[in-house]
Amino acid sequence: MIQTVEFWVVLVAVLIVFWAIPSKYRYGFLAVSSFSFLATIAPMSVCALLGWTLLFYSVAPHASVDDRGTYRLLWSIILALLGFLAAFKYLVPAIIENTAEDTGLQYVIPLGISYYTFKLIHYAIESSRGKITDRSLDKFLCYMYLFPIFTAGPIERYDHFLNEQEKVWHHHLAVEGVTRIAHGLIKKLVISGIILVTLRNAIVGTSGDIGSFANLTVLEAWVFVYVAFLISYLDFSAYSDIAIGCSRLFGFRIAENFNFPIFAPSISNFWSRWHMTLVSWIQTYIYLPLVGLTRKPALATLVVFITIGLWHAASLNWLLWGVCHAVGVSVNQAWARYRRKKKLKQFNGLWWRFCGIFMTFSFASVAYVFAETADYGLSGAGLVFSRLLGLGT
Amino acid sequence: MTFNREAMLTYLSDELGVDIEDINDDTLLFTDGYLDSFSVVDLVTYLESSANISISPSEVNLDNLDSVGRIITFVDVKTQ
Repeated sequence: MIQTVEFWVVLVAVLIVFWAIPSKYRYGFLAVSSFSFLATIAPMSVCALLGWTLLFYSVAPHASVDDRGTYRLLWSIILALLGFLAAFKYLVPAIIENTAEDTGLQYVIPLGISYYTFKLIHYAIESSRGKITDRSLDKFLCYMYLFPIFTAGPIERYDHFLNEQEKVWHHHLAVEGVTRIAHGLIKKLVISGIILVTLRNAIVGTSGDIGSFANLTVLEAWVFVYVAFLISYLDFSAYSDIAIGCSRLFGFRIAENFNFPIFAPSISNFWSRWHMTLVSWIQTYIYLPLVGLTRKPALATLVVFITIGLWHAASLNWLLWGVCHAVGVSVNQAWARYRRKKKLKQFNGLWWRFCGIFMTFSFASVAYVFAETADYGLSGAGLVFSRLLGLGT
Repeated sequence: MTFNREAMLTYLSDELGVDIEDINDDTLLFTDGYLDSFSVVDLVTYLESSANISISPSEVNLDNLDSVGRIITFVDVKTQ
């Protein structure tokens, strides 16, 4: 979306009107503007999502654990929404892949459906717990449709969205917002788009052919793996920077999504710095309830990472990516626990920290091979792994 | 085993490796990385045995467990 001129024209136009009108109309104006802009991109899907929005808005505030009827109704709606998500995320792509001619089905996958689903479930659960008391429809619609964060997050929490907004224009909003947008554009267009992509193409070419992996030397294979991971990090964090910067221009301080994960000293620490809003959502709504139920953190970790993997795509590659990270986090936590019990202070020094950063970056990069080669299936990943080890020709 | 603030701080220090000089009642133990996510099971088990309470899956959340203050409030409510 940010690659289009329309996005930036709409951003400037909406910004000018947003700050010109009285504050009591701003949420409503921004909600309508966002909805209208998104509707020009994907009219049918945005209207379908509006139905879900109004349904959750009507039911969630009336549901509570004490009222079994409405609570069950709310959970039925949440399950239906998850079914809707699964159908569009897995069923439609499967039909597209297995149909020779152009079905046009790719155009019916609702825009930003995953992020939208996460936000709605958060709203539903926190409302039913009595944590969300604001019932303003204009604020809720603005939260759900705010166009800079609609398609790729961050996954903002509703209470954070309402509490972290400046209501009066000040030039520091422009400075912060534009600076953040500039950071994102430099990351995306220069560092990733020119430097790293050029390097990657020099190694594996631009054909997108699985055969391009076969002739890599060991050194080329390792450089490719690190570069591919860096590109994914910079692209994603650049989108987050731009989304956060654009939202800042409207006075919103959206939750951060990345905190230099490439400098994480352990894989557990990596996951407190990478896609932080998704990790926080998963911890709150999947990991902790599972731990409470099973008292088995390793099992809960495995379920969480397989869920994250399959959320990206229903493929063996993404499943194995999830398993890799689950094993990595579990082993790292066991090691951290052992160090704590034995009071091993010698691993706290600067040298070990550098080792930790290098090992974590390498682990995340190697695990990312499954994701990078997802289009080629396990044979693509196997080919890259074999080149990393210098096996085969 | 009995539950009180001092006993819990001793547990956090001795068993979970938290440097209690670094924290106060409002410090976010899990959110700010003083405790890893696996430690939640140890903490819950400790609270159940020391305060003689039963903690349900829905109560295992950061609203109840993310700081010393929140834990004390949570246990107080459970034992009333």
